[in-house]
Amino acid sequence: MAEADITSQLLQYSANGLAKGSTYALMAVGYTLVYGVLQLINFAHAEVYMLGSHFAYYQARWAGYLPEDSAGKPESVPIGLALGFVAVAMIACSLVGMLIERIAYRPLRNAGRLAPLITAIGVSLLLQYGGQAVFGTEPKLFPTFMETEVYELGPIKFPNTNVLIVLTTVVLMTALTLFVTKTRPGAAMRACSHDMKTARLMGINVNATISLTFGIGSAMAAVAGVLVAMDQPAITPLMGVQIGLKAFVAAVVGGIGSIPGAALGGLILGVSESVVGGLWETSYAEAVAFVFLIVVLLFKPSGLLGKATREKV
Amino acid sequence: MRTALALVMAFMALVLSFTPGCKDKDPDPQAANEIKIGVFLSLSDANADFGKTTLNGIQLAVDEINEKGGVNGKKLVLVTKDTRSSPEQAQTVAKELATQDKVAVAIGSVESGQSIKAAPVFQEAGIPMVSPSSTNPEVTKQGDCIFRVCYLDDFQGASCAAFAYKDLEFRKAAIIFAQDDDYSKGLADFFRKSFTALGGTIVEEAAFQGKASEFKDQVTKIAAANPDVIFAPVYYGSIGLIARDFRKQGVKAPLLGGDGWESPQLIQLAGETLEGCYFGYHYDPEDSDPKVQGYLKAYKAKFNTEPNSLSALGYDAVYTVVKAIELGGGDTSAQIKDGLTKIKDFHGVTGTYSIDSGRNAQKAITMLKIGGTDLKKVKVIQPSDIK
Amino acid sequence: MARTIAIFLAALAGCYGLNWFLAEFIEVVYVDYLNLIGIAIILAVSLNVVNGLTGQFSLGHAGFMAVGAFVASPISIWLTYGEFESGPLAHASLLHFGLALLACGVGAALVGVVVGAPALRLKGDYLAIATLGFGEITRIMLQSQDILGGPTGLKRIPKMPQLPGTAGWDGGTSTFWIFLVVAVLVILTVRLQRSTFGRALIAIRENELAAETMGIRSSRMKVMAFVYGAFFAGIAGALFAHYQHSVRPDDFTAVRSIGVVVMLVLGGLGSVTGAITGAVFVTLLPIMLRPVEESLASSGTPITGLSMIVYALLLIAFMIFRPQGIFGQRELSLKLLRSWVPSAVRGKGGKP
Repeated sequence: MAEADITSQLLQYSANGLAKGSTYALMAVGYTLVYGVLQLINFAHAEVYMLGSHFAYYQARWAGYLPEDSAGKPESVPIGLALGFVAVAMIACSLVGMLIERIAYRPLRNAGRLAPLITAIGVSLLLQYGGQAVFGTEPKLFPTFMETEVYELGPIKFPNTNVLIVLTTVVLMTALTLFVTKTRPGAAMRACSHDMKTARLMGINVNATISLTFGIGSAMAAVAGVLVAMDQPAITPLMGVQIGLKAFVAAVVGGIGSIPGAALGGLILGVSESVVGGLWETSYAEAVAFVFLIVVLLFKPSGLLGKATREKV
Repeated sequence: MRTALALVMAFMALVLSFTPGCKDKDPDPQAANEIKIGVFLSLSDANADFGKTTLNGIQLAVDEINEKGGVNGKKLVLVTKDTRSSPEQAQTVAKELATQDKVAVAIGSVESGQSIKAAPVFQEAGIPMVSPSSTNPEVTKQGDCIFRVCYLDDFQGASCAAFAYKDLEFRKAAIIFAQDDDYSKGLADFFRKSFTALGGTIVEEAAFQGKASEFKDQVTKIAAANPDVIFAPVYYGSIGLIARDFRKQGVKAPLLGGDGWESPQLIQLAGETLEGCYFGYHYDPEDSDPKVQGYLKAYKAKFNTEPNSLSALGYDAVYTVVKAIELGGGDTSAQIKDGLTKIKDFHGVTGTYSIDSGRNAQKAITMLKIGGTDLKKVKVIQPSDIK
Repeated sequence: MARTIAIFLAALAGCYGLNWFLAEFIEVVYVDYLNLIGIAIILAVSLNVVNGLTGQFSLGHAGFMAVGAFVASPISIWLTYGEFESGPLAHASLLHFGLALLACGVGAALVGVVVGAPALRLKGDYLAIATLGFGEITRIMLQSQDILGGPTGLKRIPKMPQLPGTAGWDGGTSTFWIFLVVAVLVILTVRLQRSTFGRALIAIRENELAAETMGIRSSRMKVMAFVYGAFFAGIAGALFAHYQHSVRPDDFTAVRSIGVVVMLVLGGLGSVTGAITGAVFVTLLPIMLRPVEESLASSGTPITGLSMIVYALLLIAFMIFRPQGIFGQRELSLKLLRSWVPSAVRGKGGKP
């Protein structure tokens, strides 16, 4: 194979990985925020992502933008309305996220680390199977929020949906970082993450702060769900399982508890999966993610941008 | 010591709690006026759609037969079990069907992995098992009680290769398949073998994990090799997304696939991206054969949706079993098994077929071309064409 | 020593008796559930040594199970049939089966060393996610090995060795072999808990730093615990493969690893009886809920996956009301059972 070919392929893989990594990053934020505050792997996060795309789907369907029978063609949803659908999906997912925390995690806040982990698995199963019972099991065509266009940058082909994914991720991650570092609720979140008991003593409403954390993470998952569904327009109740695991790995690689870490972890994971998988053997791409994870953890156990924790004696 | 005592006690309690499961020393003979058919399919989880559509076909056939008075005056009764899309679970429910419900014959499953796990159970029990649509060659090799009414992956793969090489005159093919799926991997292997044997070259291969919803890297890899045709032995839920990704990367080569593509949703999920592509299928939906048209009409009337290939195979599986009861001269497991081996030139919705000595249906494959909104028959390949 | 042999012989006799009783009097499906429970118990009790006793959080048990299954199956297929072609099933001979089990246990244990030595430097959830990664890598690598059958895996795995005097479904021997391993594992583990080694593991769980200052070489101990778990997980994989007569890489997904952890937490982490109870619950619950689903489906209102929905709800509710699991860290004993009876019922005998 010619040299130029390899370079252009490499660039194309990186571009693919960039888009994929951005969605990982959006999802990883949810894991990382919750883990930072509660030290809990919120397995249900992946199902919130699934709900996000389904909420948007049903709004479009009720608004009449999807054909009734399986042979018809979908209409394009006007951009303003699409944004409205996304906003509603975000709010709905936030509520779901907060509800999950209220029902399944809050009663167990002082019960050690494993009990909430099991309820998290329970909620995850509940939403997966509940989703199958309510939404049905067949793949559903996601409405067209944006007509596909492919931009060509030299040898690289980049669809507009991918541009949107990357841009949205950058904007949301920046906004979130600013929120956490510059605002009072953000400071409260950091305080809870640092030391929940002291935070309470300082007059911070810990419960409200944790709810907020879940709300924000879930809204991000909803956006990720819609963005991925726009790019890959077939949604199912089990769509979250795979990306959820990857996103959590991304959060760990980046350093769990850190928002820039989630972004970095997501991007590194996405790009390395695409490049290594593409140039070597695509079926090994999944394994690549995990090999990468193990290597990073062995050399930097707290993740790339995570703070090293000292053992309390 | 006390721990040990408590442990043993608890264990005894567990065993005793099973006493309702005491063996019926006097095995309940099949109720005189019914024939029990066990059905095990994925009715929930990842592949629920396969199971549900197959079950519709089976139900339709059973209702039709019962309305006409059943078989030899006996009604067909379905005992349906959900395998939850898990091969392991398939074995457990197979045991329930074979030993608890004591079915005369079993129909299932769609996924070859499940059929392979269930096969030893029915073999052990001496109950014939008819798989409607497990195409992996290994399935029927598991024992002489295991039958199927669909064609095999080796035939399907070879037919697709021959069609691509001889009829479409393509010489450079690429393959994209699901690494962890028996069906997809099997078809890919057989296609590769046949296509290269004919003189063509496989210029690139890209695999993915079956649960993937994103195929950009695989597509990039194949696009760089510039193939004439892309063989994509995947299910309909994936092919739409794969086709979209190919067109986004500017690849114009037609895609070619197997029966897994077929679904009423296929064209909707793929948009225009599959126009001019081909796939191998069990029958021609536009066939004027009254059997096919009657089936299509009855299915639509009953379920208010379009049937797919799985429904048709489920439908045919039931009628094949009924035929076997007639040929075997009775409705016991042994008689049905005997009858199944005698099926010859059976005229079903999915073609006319015989069951060969390997307990597989010998039947033709119909290559369909996808137009804007419809499917057109382009060629019928007989088993005798591929040797 | 004599006592150990006596206990072992008793276990042998007990397993044979159980096997005979089940094959003779109980319907095959219930025996099937019991065998599945047995395999789950092996997984749970062996993982409990790592997760419960030593306090390390491993999520890679399915990976070791896969290693065991894919080491034992080809050996026993080859020894029994001399070929890898499909055909009728036969019983493996005692020698062949023993060799296969030994090989798979050793294989899984070796993998346990290779994975455990570096991975156990990690703590808590990081270790969990690294071991989860190991399991997934194993599964994906196995899928691409055409010599091991690729995604379809291995078929025609022989039945477990025939015993004198048993007959019935599948030769009616599976229960004996599965529960023999259960018995050996439980006896070993209970003894291990009370040994110096076991105390050292508990010390590491309670406070690793303090344990080290007391002279416990914690990294070595942790790896040993991990290898112990891996060995029996490997055996469980081999039993599973021989029981089902076929095995595929996808039988060992992360879901299964997570399922074993659920069993532990449900039963009470750190308790052998807890692990056993958890294994029974988690295996049996979805099975018992299935008839409800089936009766709904036959009455015309099918609800997809209803039993799993109920299972998930029960799991959540149970953890909320009893977060320490059924037994906590304690073992099942008559004393514990008594303490569960409300004092009002017990009358004056209870503690104030």
